[in-house]
Amino acid sequence: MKINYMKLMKLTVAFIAILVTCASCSKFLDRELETNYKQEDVFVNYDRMQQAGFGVYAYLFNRFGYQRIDNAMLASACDEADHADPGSSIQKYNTGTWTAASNPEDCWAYFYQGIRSANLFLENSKNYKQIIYRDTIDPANKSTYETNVKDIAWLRAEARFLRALYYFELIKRYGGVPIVDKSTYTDEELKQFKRKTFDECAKFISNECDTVYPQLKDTWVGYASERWRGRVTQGAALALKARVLLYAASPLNNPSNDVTKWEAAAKAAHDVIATGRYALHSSYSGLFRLGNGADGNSEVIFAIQGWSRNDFEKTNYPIGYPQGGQGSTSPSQNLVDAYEMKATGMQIGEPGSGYNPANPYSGRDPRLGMSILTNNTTFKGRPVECWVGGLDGLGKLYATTTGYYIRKFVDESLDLTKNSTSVHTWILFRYAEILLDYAEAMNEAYGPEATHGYTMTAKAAVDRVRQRADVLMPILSPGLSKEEMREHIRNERRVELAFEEHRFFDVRRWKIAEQTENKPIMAMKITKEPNGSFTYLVQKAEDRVFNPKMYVYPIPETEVLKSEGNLTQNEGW
Amino acid sequence: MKKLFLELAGIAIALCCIVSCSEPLLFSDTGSPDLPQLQDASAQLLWIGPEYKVAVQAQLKDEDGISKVQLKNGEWQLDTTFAVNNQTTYVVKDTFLVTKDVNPTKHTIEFTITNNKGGVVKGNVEVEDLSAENQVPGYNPDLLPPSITMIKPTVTKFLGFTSAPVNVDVEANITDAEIASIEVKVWGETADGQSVDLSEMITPQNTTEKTAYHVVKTFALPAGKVGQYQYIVRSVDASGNKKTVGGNITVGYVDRLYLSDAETDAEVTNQGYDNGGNARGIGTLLSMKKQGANSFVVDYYYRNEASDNIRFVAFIGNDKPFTTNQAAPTYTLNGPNILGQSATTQGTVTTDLSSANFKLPVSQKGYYHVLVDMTARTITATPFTPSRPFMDPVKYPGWSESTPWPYLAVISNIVVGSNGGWSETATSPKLMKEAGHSYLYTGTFKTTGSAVNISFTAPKDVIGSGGWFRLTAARANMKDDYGDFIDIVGAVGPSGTSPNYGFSHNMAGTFKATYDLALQRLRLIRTGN
Repeated sequence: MKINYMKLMKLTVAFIAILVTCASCSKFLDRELETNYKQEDVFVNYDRMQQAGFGVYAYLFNRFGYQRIDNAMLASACDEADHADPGSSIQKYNTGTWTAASNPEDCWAYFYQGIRSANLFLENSKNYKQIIYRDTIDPANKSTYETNVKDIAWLRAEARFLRALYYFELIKRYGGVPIVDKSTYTDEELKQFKRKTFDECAKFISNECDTVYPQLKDTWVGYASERWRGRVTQGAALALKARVLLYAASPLNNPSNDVTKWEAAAKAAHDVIATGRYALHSSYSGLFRLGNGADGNSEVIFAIQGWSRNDFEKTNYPIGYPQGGQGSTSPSQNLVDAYEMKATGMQIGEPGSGYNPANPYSGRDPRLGMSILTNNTTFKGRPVECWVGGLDGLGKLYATTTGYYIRKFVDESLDLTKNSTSVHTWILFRYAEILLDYAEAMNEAYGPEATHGYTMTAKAAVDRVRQRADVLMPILSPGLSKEEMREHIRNERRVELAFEEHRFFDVRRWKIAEQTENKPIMAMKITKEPNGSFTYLVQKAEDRVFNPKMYVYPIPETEVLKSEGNLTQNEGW
Repeated sequence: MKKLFLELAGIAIALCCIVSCSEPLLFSDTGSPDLPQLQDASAQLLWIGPEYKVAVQAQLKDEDGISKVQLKNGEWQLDTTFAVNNQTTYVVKDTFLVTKDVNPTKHTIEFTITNNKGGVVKGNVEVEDLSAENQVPGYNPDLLPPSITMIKPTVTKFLGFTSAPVNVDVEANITDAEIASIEVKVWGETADGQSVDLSEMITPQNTTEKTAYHVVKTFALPAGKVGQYQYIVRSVDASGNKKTVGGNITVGYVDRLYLSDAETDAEVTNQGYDNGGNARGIGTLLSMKKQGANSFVVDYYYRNEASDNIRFVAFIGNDKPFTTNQAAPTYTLNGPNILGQSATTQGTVTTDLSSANFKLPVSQKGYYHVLVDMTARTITATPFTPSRPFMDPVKYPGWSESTPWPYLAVISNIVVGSNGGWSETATSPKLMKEAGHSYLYTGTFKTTGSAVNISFTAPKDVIGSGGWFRLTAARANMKDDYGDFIDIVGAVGPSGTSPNYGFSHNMAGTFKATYDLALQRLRLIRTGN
């Protein structure tokens, strides 16, 4: 995104915040002196209307990616990692002490605010052509009129997409939710809102994606001097549809294993593939450091535009680096063990895999080294010392608790002593995920090696991910059973999408969290021997607690109470 | 009065409560309260036959009687509770199946002992790892699956453009303590749905074969059809260990596709090329961008003339159209990797060159998005209006739709007539605007030696002092869709903003050049000395 766009976005966020404040506190602010736009002053010309549209984007911030939960990543609330700060509220997930009144990642109100923002924009910009025409009545401005009309038309489609995305973010956490299609409502109407089923919500989201698809722009790259890079595209609508249908087909939401749901998910994912627009980026490690040019990359379908910052590095550089390690994400041994051996493509525990426990990081899937800093890896000019007593080793407050640090997303080039920064974007949809979505749905619908008229099999889709230019893992062996392929796909997702806020929800939708999330987080205790070699011993870092009710979030207690019985709480909460 | 009584009574009760609750809770000074005791606890990780077990022993004591004891271990997901029935002593002696550790691992078993009065004691017992040796004397299981070393296929991608079946050789060496069976299989389907399932099961017959087997098989895939297949060699040993090795085979799935508009073989072997930085390009070949699994697209200006000779050149694997540069092309216009539009079925491409007409499926000149689907073997050409980058007055000063530049002047240090300068002179060679082709400029020039840097500029009279037009240095853009050679040479803006010569050349000779302002394509052919 260009700076102009960022500025606009920030202004818009402030603008909408003020608007919401005015609306909600109108009595308190009922005075003659007007310092801010009222709602009726917003939808009067193109510029203000456009800013209101951009305001819907504002709700992408703070609920996706990086260390957004009390300085912790969502990865630290599942078996991917442990958060080194024991006082962070993220630990509630791990101790099983989160409740309907205290959920560290509660998103209910936030995303409903986003939905309201979208509804407000959609309701008030209905007559956008008229409004823009009034504003550009001079015949000399005909081309401006045409451009602005197109822009608002796109923005309206984008707002609908974002509203659908916010609904998806709600249902993947809470299950079915009320579908609210207006920005204002009476108390009586408010009380009538009841939760829809997950399937009803998924259908709504999927239909919205279908509807807005033709109204969205195919790409913003190369348009309007690159000013609007990062806005929603057609590919994003296809990708959201693919994801929501995958969730709808998954065991958590499809207990009877209705195969037609898997078929629909496979088709939706294939629709993304069939556009031919997307391909895997050649560099896995480089993919997460693309900055705001990310949307120009062939793999990136939709990314949240970011800003220049270094808080992620301050949090996640190993503790021994200047100004690093202020409460780090510590990848788990559980995750490290999931990376296969490169030469054989086998799990490390399989006989004949080639794994050497005395040299545990050698010969592994290259994505291990690109995602996780292991002991003795050179980082910023020196080896990382994760051994006990090392500069970055276990035992210090906020040092790694597992013997590992996160590398994915981390900009190694920053000099924190000089407060240097770089742009950090967060990729919401990327092609590798689509391939794995497709593989999973195809496998469940038709088996591992059937094409069913599509361009690739489940196996071929996984193979493609494994064969990225700088990964080059062996392709999967042909002839796998559906169950074997399922395990491969799940492991491939775990590895390829590590720390990208998929695993936390994947283990829930697969209904395997009772197994994976009740296992302790394991750590690697590394000892440096007098001769300079290392010995490795796995040990428990911490126990984890997961109860069946935690497959979905509790609806915030205040919301349930306010609804006077119309909003039913999820079971067990 | 009644009210007062009730209030006084309430105060009295409250005081009593306070007094009764204020007495400190003291433990007996004769000893600590009785709590369950955990004694002589041990846990051992054992390898017994094919299984791994943890054996747990401990003595529990409690004078009040033990109600239950719980044993837990998270990583093994061990969670079991013994009901003890209020016995004062209890011996835990049990084994539990566990998984084998991948890494040396420190395990602990957590004991939670509850006595009859609700007293709870927790204790952790570290597990001693004795699993290095099997507890069964002489137990020496074959845990390793057969070793399979694939020798062939070394080629797994085939063009399949001929009418002969595609023969796939499968060759492998298999070794094991005792091989029970070997399965060799090739299967899949053609793009038009024809199923293929070829396999052979082998049972080694003698001791030599059972310890080392050399498999050699050849399978024939359908001729002339696009298809996706897989192959495996699977072996099972006498202990039931299984190993499968295999891969994918494709026929007709192309990695690179190029559009060639060379009219003759000579235009293939005499393509101009940029010599700097080992880059290649600027000839009669346009790379097509891969779209999806097996489709390719390119934007192309079609002259719709009798001399049009549109061919598609396909490559698989690491094959490329040139070894070093266009001076050494790897393809010919009638080679085995060439396709053209069918003369009899417009809109399809054929590998049978004798039945091709080498045209696009249109009847008008113009700009087209050309799409070739190599799976369906179809070709479509969709007209489009080019984005006309030359409308940019900075990069293309003085150009307008109504008064386009009449020519482009060739400027260089050693192009004959250019007088060594970087501005147009009276004798500069010219690429003249073609009549009937709005954005094409064609002409010839002659180079005199090596390391020639060449560019084109807008007519001096047009640009005057209002700026200038030159080609941007091709070097920086010297990549095509496959990262090899260039297709386009764009314009640079005012002097000083970036390198301002178009391409370098080191072969002396006479060249025919056509520059397309819209697509920024330079078609350059050496026509003589």
